[in-house]
Amino acid sequence: MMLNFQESINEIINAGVEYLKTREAEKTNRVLIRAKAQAFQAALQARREILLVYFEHRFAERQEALAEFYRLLHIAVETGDTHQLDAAIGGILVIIKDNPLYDFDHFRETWGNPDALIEF
Amino acid sequence: MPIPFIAIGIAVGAASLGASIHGAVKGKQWQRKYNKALAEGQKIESDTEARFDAFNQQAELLGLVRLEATEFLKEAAEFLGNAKVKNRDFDDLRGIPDDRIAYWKELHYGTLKSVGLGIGGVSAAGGAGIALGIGRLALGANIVAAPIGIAAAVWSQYSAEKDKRKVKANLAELDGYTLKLWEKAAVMQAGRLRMTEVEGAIINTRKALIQLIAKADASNVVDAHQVYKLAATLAELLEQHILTDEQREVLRE
Repeated sequence: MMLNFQESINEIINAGVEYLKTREAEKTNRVLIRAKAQAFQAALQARREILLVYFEHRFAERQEALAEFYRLLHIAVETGDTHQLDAAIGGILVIIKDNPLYDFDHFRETWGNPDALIEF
Repeated sequence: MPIPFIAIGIAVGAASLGASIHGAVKGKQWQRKYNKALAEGQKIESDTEARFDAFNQQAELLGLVRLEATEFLKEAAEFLGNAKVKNRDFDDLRGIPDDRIAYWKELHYGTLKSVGLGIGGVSAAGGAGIALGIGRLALGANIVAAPIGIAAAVWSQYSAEKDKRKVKANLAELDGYTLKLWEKAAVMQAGRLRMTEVEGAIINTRKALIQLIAKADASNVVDAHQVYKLAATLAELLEQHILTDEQREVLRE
């Protein structure tokens, strides 16, 4: 059965409209996906920077404590005080043997997930 | 009737021309987009390389500090060998183990137990990155992957679409590569903080040990035990890790 001219035109127009709708929807989806990807990258970058600032502060705090123990160590050597010597080397070793970079590994695991909660 | 065919022909021709122009414009847009991302990626890459050089230099310096301290441990062992207080008890002090003194006497930097650590590798090969057991960074593997033929193939919509897909794939690859570079940079930044800390501890302890030995009396049991304790502390500091295995892997990748 042959379609009449008007029906044919209507079919073509409907198909065209459908195509345009789908194209717009796809375009919107692509924009959303691109925006999400950019936001994801920005979130990862921000997390990385926060972690690095945290580690800088943490090392700075440790350095302050170590400086005190070095001072005590030199006094102990000057005076020959065994108790001070023990306290100094004990303090230095406790701090140095606790390597903050082990925690760094834990934080790194969350980098790929901007929604993950990081507890300091 | 020839006229409709001519009209159709003109319309098709115009549409093709329009598609070609559209394709050319789109192709150039993607080309520009990729070039921009590529330039940013290359900048991050060169920053990472600079960081790596700085990281390596610090690792070399730490290597030297460790080497000097290792050598000085031998002097401490020499002193303790002459102290003649081994295996004796004195109040709450334990004896000085012979095997420890012998170990320090024979100790070479390259034989430190912690070689894996992030320092150790320093041993034989001596080099810098090698000093942390990571070798050179594997940079540039992906970043040069440019979309081929984008500029040449912009003459058709089809080619432009094909190039667009290729550029998108390359951009995704570039994003992944950039993230890896960020990760390497973060590990190096944290690693440098740790190196500074360990280096300071070794330097201060070694300096104290030098002073202590200079004024210690080998025949005095308390003096000898103080030297032993400080030497043992120094030996322990020499074996402290900088990077974890996982972090060295990140830098090697």
